[in-house]
Amino acid sequence: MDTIVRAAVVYLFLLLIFRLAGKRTLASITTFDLVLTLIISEAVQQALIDTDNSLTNALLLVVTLVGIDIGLSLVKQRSKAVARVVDGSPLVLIRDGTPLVDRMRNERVSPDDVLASARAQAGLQRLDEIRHAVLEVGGTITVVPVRDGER
Amino acid sequence: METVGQLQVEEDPRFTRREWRLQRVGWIAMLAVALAGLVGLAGRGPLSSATAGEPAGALAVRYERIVRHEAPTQLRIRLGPGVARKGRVRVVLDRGYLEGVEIEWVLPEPAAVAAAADRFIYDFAIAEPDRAGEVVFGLRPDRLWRRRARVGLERGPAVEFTQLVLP
Repeated sequence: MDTIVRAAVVYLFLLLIFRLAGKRTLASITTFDLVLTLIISEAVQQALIDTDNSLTNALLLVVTLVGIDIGLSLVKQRSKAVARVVDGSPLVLIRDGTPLVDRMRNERVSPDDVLASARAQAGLQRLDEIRHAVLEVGGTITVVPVRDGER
Repeated sequence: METVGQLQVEEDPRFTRREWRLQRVGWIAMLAVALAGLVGLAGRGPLSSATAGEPAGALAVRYERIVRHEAPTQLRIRLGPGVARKGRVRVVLDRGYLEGVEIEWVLPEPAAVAAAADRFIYDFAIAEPDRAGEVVFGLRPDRLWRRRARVGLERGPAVEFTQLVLP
């Protein structure tokens, strides 16, 4: 019984912490984000498993974690409000070539981050080649380039 | 929902602003939790350790107010000078408390342990009865929340305290 409670508590706790931390916190921007993810998983794993290393326990944990995830996704499909609370919503950072500085500051995104995404995704060289940039719910930044002849 | 020019993206600036505010509150809460852990409010720190009884008297027990489930903790039972009778001292622990912990070790090894209906009696040999001594129990709590404990000397003083066992 306590396996199920443990899994549910850990799931909800991590969801809360990661939402409070913000979209960009563990979005694999720096090498260290990966290291931090691994350390967090290691720390939580001990509490999840406790002293019970049985196969039964592992199977119960996996079923519970995946089950909660499926259940939550079903609720999110029906309710936009729940989806917004759980996942957040995307946020436009550059609109028609205008950087929205206040939004970038609050999400702790710098123009350099936007430029890095622009280089990786569209091979853009300069900020003024970006028409739109969006901070997606997963923490990545997507860019829409200015089309030829539009400038 | 807001459509930005030709870009079909469902952003919600009002919700996002509320989210930012909540995040700031959350960061402060996380800092507070870390600081509380640092001072021992989650066990193992200066605010957690406590002493029951008179440190200079016949019996005093040093314990942790807040302990964690399945994590080691100690009861340090200080015996005042002159409590031993014929080179022996009998320490009495209540059964209710001991049933909520695993006893990992006892230092020194008791010469004998006897069970009574509601308590266990540990019989220790004392080498220098005129001086203060100490016996230590290494424990691992395996029941949660508030646990009452009573530690005493047979036909002598006893102290009571409560421990909070965090999951």
